[in-house]
Amino acid sequence: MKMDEIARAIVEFDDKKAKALATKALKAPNGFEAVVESIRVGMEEVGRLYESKEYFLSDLIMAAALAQDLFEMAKPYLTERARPAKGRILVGTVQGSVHSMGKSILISILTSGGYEVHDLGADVPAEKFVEKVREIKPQVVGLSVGLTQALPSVKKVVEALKAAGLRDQVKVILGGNAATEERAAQAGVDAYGASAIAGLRIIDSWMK
Amino acid sequence: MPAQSRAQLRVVRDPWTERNTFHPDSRRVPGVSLTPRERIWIALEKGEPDKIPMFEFEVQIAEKIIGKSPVSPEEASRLKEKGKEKELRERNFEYRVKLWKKLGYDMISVPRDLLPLAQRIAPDLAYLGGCGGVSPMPGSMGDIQTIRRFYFDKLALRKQCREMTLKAIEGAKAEVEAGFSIIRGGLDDMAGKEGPYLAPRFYEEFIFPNLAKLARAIHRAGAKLLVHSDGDLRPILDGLVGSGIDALHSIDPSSNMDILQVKEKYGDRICILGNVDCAWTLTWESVERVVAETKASIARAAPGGGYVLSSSNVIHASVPVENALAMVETGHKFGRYT
Repeated sequence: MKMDEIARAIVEFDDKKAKALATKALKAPNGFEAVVESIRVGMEEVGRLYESKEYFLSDLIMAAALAQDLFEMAKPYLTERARPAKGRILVGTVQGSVHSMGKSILISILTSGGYEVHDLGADVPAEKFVEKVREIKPQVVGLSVGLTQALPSVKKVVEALKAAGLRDQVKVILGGNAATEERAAQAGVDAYGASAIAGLRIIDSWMK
Repeated sequence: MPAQSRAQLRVVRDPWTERNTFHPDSRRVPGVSLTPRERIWIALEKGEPDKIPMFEFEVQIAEKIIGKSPVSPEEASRLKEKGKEKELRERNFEYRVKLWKKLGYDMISVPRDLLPLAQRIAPDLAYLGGCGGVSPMPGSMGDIQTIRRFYFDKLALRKQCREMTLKAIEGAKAEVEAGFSIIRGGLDDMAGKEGPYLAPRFYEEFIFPNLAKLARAIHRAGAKLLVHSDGDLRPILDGLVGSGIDALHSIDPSSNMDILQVKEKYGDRICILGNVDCAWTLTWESVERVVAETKASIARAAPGGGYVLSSSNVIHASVPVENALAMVETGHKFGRYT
């Protein structure tokens, strides 16, 4: 993995440098593709450092926020030749859970990882998930649960997707403070993401 | 307690009550029964009282345990409308004290203006006061703006931390003057399941030096500093304990905090409170599992003293009453030092 200056600036949280370099790079032909690739490479390295415990939660949040800013800067330069999104993902925090920090990190990581992400917000009832899955047809639904009291809501979403005949059309991944591997299995989801980076890896493997 | 037994004890000064209390060696006196306040103080001194003290910040299922609050929602609204907020708070506090006595808890959080009431209706309980924080701390809601300041706004942040620390010290001193000898504050809720909200270097640079100043000031005033945070604190525990805090709540097992490891590594420097998992066991498991986990926490953390039995956060509204009571009963039954 070759790190260019933009990727390096993301890894070092150098907000000003990353944005200045991106502004310049976006003016070149294929600028969008180049910047998005730099974001991907930078975030890949941040993910590696986080997993090896050299980086911490706030480092991940800062890098992801910067990546998101760069992505927003790059969007107007999107050309028809640009690579399409790797997939469409619907995310939301289940009903009864208002914590959204993990979900915000996940959204930044997924966006910078090349996915089209739709956020339903926090405290979302099961029927809202069903409605949105019907509307945007995502390949993956990411559920976040911050409180154990809200765990039954995870199962409700899974059941509601089944009842609507949509369960076979989407993969469902669960993350958040109250989630564990065992609880994810009990709720009937396809995978448990122990962290936003782990979630990205799992979703990447599904999209291959 | 027979006067003769008390005379055998080594005594230490309780700065709050201006009375003498027991040195941790009091555990060695057979047949001595301590007051809740004495029990808590000895635990804070890392000693073994007569039995393991118990404490909760909050119990949100009071009605299921002691029946309805005497203040109905309608009456509460009426009192508020009439500007009798203090009376409302006093009556709610009285209800809370009733619950604390029923459950046999040893320490209760008390707002400063209600301390005289607490001293009148619950003279034996230990009272927990509070002071402000020494640093801004991102909440658990994705507070990116606060986190960003630690990366990009260090000069202003350092100044703010200094000012906050001075204010926290003033607040703590005022609490001690009012009559508290145990202060919760400095920082609060600093970690989640994935670890501390901020990278450890920021705690070392901005937070722990200021926390140490607060701890020193509180100690000079003759009181003790209690810090609460759930989440996985392991990457910052050395610095946190090294700041000179006296007690740490809540040793959250749902975030990989192992009370035995904390006890072995830090048990000679801090008093440990907590550990019975309110995120899972107390909420979802059977009474038998609650009893087993409570006994396990006691077995791991109580030997040698310096332990207060508590949930890993609060007894929240989703905890079944039978589980909450099972934990309390287990604490009373198996929490005796021999």
